[in-house]
Parts: sequence; structure tokens; C-alpha cells
Amino acid sequence: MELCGLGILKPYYFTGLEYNGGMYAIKEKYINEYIPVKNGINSGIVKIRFDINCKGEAGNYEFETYNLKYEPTTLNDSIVNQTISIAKELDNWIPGTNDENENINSFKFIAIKISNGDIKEILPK
Amino acid sequence: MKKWIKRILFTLLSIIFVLILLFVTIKPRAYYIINYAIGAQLQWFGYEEEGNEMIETSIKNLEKFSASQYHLVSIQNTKNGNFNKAIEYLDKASELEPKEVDGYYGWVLLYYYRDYEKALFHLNRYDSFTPDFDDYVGDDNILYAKALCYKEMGQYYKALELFNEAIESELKGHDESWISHQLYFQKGRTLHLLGEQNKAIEYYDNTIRLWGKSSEAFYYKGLAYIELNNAQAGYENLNKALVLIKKGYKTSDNYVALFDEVYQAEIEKTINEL
Repeated sequence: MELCGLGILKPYYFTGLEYNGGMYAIKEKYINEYIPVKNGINSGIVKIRFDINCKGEAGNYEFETYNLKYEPTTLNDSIVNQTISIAKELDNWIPGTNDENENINSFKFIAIKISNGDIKEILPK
Repeated sequence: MKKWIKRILFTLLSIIFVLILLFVTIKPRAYYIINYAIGAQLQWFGYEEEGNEMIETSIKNLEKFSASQYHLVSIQNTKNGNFNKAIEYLDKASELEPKEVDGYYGWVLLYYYRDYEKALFHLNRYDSFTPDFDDYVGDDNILYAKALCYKEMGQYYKALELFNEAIESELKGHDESWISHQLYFQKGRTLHLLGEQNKAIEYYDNTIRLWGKSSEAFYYKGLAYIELNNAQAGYENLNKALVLIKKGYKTSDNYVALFDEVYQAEIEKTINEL
């Protein structure tokens, strides 16, 4: 994935970046594909940050994991790998736009809250 | 002429020297204030690490970093999902000035973190500072925010009690038009979750009376009718919801998904499965 123009990124809430079907479609994908993990450190938050270019292509994935007190921690690899893989399969992004209604680059994150291996919440929108 | 050029050059060099002395060697308080403001701006453009490094350098070097400054640097971190940093700053802010910070902290924990127990701790503490006054947190009556916490924790009766108090509070000195349609909608959702479909429909209707384009109210009203075995009314309301949402009418927020927010794909799927 190559960023458009000079590669300037703006936050998703500023550009109006959307996923086709909204959070409903993102949640459905996670509900259908995520397999609960019942061992290891299996409660916490996986935050996945990525960029979406002006063509709606996603890339430059990075992640961080926190416990439920928001302290950096490690989580069971299966939880991390699954949540990131599913995020990478989200391929229906509607690019953000500028004031001239031209498609532009955005950055975005998804945070998946896991409790005892099950997905409890997907944030922010 | 040469003399003037020399003077101008000397003045310019002196200014540059003083600026270097100030901002590279001495680094006064103003430098670190500007530094953290630039750090916050870098975060806005997605440079998380660089931005946070500048902010942290400023915090270390400014002797007194105030509660409002901690609060301020937490905001972009929350918006970017840097939860560890945002919460670290908010905890510090709330420790320093709970009266100033707890309302926002509770509200942000409710909507952005879905951390209902911690949200209630801060909302209750904030409320206790002014026991005779119903505060607002974000755009919400604090009683409504607390009700949402209980609803999302599954404590529906406690949530209903607080939704009722919030409605009563909103109607003090105002007519019904003052009330946010979301207040009636969320009371309706709570009744619905308790299996009280008829009462829920009453509150979905109240929502629609306040905002006739609430696709979410029509959607859940449709579901309630279907659960009451009134398929015709159910179908009609689901279709109204679909027509509205296709025109872009729904309650939503730029930053976070709202509680019980509805989506076109969700309504279509429900209708197709009838």
C-alpha cells in the first residue's frame, strides 16, 4: 500500500473515513472469524493502528497490547495473531476526503477488548 | 551603505544567537509549553511516538504540570487509541483536580473505553462534589451517563431508576423539547432488554416524537413488534428505519460508535431474515 501524494495522514474522525457497513460489518467479521482463546494471558486490549490511502487500500499495520488497566503487556499470541489477521482482511474501506471532496490518506485504529479469551468490545467506530 | 548592512547583519545574528541561547541552551518554561503543544499536533498527524516523546520531555522539565495540561495531553492519546498514555495522564489529572477532571474522565471512560465500573467511580465522585446540582458531562446529563453505565453492565433496574431521574431532572424548568431523544431511546432499549416490549414501544414512540428521523427508534420498535408477534407492524417499522438510514438519518458520532447504534446492513439483514 502506498500513501497518496506527499504521504500526509490525517485522523479518521477528521477525514470521515468509513468502513462499508460500519462497525456492524467489522463486528460481524470478528464474530464470524475469531476463535476464543481459553489459555495463557487472555484478557486485555489489542490496539491495531493502520493507514488507509486515498484508494481505500490499508497497510502499515502496527499493534500494541494492554491489560484491562491499560498498562502495556503481552497477550496470548493466538489472540494477537487472530485479531491482527482479521483486521488485515478488512478490505472495504471508503477513503476519507478533504474540503474539496478529494480522497485523501487517513490513519485509523481498532481496539479489541478481550475478556477471558472472548471479544467483549470493538472500539471506537 | 556598508555600515547599514553591517548593522542589519549584526542585529539578525544577535537575534539568532539569543534565540539559540533561549531555546537550545537555557530552554525556559515557554519552550516546554510550546514543545508539548507541537507534540500534541504531531500526534494529530499520526506521529504517535515522536509526539509523545516531546510531551513527556515537557512534563519532565516543567516543574508544575497542571491537571488541565495532563487532561489536554490525554485527549489526543484517547482519540488515537494510545490507552496507556491517555489513562496515565487522566489518572494524574484526576488525582490533582478531581473536581475539574472527574466529569470528563467518567464520560470518556463510558464512551471511548466502555469501562463502566471505572466510569461510575469517577462519575459518582464528580456528582458528589455538587450534590444539589445535576451536572453535565460531555453533552450528557450525568444521571443519563450513569444510567448508561448500569445498562451496559446489565443492571437494568438500576439503569431505569437513573433514566427516570435524568428525565425528571431535564424537565425541571423546561418542556419536553429540552430532552435529548437519546434519553427516551435508551430508556426504551432498557425496557426492551427487560422484555417489556409494550413499554419499550412507548419510549421508542417518545423518541420519534422528539426526532421523527430516528432510524434506531424505528428499528428497535420494529423488533419489539415482531417479538410481540405483530409481524405487519414490525415490518412497517423496519422499513421506515431502512428508508431513513438510506437518507443518512441516524444518531451517530464522529469519534465512537454509540450504544445501540444501527447500520443499514444490520437493518437489511433483519428484513431479509423475516
